[in-house]
Amino acid sequence: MIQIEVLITAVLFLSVILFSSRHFYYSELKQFAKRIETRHGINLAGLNFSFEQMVYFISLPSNIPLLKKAGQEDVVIRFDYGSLLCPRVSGIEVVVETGNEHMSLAYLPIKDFRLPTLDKMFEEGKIDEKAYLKLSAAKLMEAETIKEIKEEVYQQIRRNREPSV
Amino acid sequence: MIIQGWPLYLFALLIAILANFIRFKGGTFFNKSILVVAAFALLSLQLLSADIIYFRQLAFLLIAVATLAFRIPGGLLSAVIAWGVLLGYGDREWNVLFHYLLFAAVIHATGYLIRKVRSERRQMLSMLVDNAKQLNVFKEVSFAMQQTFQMEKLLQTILTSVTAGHGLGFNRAMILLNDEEETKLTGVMGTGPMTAEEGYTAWEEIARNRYELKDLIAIKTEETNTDRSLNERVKKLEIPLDQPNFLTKALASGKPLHIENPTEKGAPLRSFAEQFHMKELVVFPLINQGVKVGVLIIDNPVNKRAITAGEIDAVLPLANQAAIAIHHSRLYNKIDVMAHTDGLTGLLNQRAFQSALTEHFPDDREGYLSLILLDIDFFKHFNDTNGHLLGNDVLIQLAQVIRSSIRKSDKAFRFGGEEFVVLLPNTTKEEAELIAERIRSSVENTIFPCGEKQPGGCLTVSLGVAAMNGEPSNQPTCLVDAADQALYQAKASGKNKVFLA
Repeated sequence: MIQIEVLITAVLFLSVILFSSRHFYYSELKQFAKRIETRHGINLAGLNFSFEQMVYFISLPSNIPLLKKAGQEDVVIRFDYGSLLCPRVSGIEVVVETGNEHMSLAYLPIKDFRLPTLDKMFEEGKIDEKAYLKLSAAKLMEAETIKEIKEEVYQQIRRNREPSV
Repeated sequence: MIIQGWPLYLFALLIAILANFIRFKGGTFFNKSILVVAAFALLSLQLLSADIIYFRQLAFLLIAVATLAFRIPGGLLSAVIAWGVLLGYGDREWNVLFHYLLFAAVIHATGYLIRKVRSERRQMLSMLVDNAKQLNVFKEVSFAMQQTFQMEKLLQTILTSVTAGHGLGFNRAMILLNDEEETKLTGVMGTGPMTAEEGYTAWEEIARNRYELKDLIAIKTEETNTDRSLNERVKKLEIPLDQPNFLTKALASGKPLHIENPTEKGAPLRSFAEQFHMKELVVFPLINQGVKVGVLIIDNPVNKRAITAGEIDAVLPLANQAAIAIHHSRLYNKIDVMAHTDGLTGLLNQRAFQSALTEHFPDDREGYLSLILLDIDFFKHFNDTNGHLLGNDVLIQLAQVIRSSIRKSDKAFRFGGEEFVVLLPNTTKEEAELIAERIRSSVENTIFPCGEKQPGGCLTVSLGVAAMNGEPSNQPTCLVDAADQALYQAKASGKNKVFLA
């Protein structure tokens, strides 16, 4: 018979491991980015990036009712973590959610989220592929980047849309 | 000292937080090791309190974590270690080891199933992303290709789609086109950098301005001087197809040719690769309905990323579409030239004249357009005396004389029958008169077949000259009428003359 205290201890241990892992993962990414910023004199927040590798699953402009009625606040970014136990961001999924309806709209794999400055540093041997991925993940997870992605996706939804009849 | 209840929970909480704080600082192995160490530390606490019951039960947590982290070896090792510790404390129940191993097997099986489902999902997502991207690129490129029949714009669209990150994302691409007889490939256009530095500058610019594929296509097709250093080299390329080489191989097979380490291969390829500093390249044959239109060559000189089979497959539909578009553009251009060229003399025809007249007619008082209308003197007599076949030869020769007597900016047309017209943009009446006189004199001094049988002993022409500026009251047709009147006066006053309107 398993002791209730053992059960509580195990559940507590695993819950903390699982539910706080993403927070600590992001904190470590930020700390790592800071170290690189100091060492190489760059400012991650100011680095240029483009949305060019964002892949849309729906042909835009679209007349799908859910997209037509979606507002910018309905565009939601979901981080795709590779594993539950050892989370690493493998991409972001852009979803449109209005009430109970939701639709997966676009996906950006982290390996395709390239930044010119990091590309150059990688080419010059200042960072390796692992460091590149950590830095691009840190950039991608920044609140400002997420905001810009939301705005960009919303613009794409709205662009060239034919007026409703 | 027995640690149970709240102190145990608190310890579990602290050790979990500490583990999470540390484990992301290293790689995957380090991360997983810290997890196992944390579970083991929690378990070790029970050793301190010598509580074998708690230890025996908490060992399941260690086995679960170790199995999830290191799969079968982790499960086996943790089960054996936990059981070994129990043995050391005098707990000799064999079935405990059996339970541990069974538990590890269940955890491993569950983990395996979850990993399998996740892996399949990831694979599906990856395929979906690749296919969606191809479709998006194909859609935008097809749209851009539909907008033009102009070869230059078409080629730029194809190259931009292959190289833009929004497109297929290769660093560099170039197109070589076959001549009509399929004897040699000539470099026509390239997009991309010659050096990595150039590439990063362009990439930074694209990222800063957030250009999309359609923006890049628009920019590249508008600019005439993009990627100059690459294009200077590409345009000098002339590769004969009579000797076997890597390009003939791709064209003969009709399939993409992926070449790694080109500098270690045969002479033509080595020299080509060295010229463009290529470490790896793919040659796509552009073939439509059996016609070998040319080749598309791609490589990654900036990020030096290896080209995968999947990436090659992604280019194929675009290469096929490009072959069709280039072939159609060539046919269109051929027909367009035929539609605007006089079949006998090779000069532009009446249809082309009407367009050119409207195009060059000045739109302000400062601009001038002059026109020379000329007609062979006594041409009916020539045909009646020497026959129409010789008459045609004379028209061909006269066209050559006119061509050689006018300036580069002037345009000569066959107006109809034995009448010709020369359009002189940005030219005053006085300048036009000089050119008309040059034509008249050249014709008079040229020996035409049976020219001596003409009245006066040689073949001559009469010319009427008119000029107009862009006064609102002036119309293109008025210019033709004025030149026609002048020509009539030249004829009436004895022929072989230039008359001004």
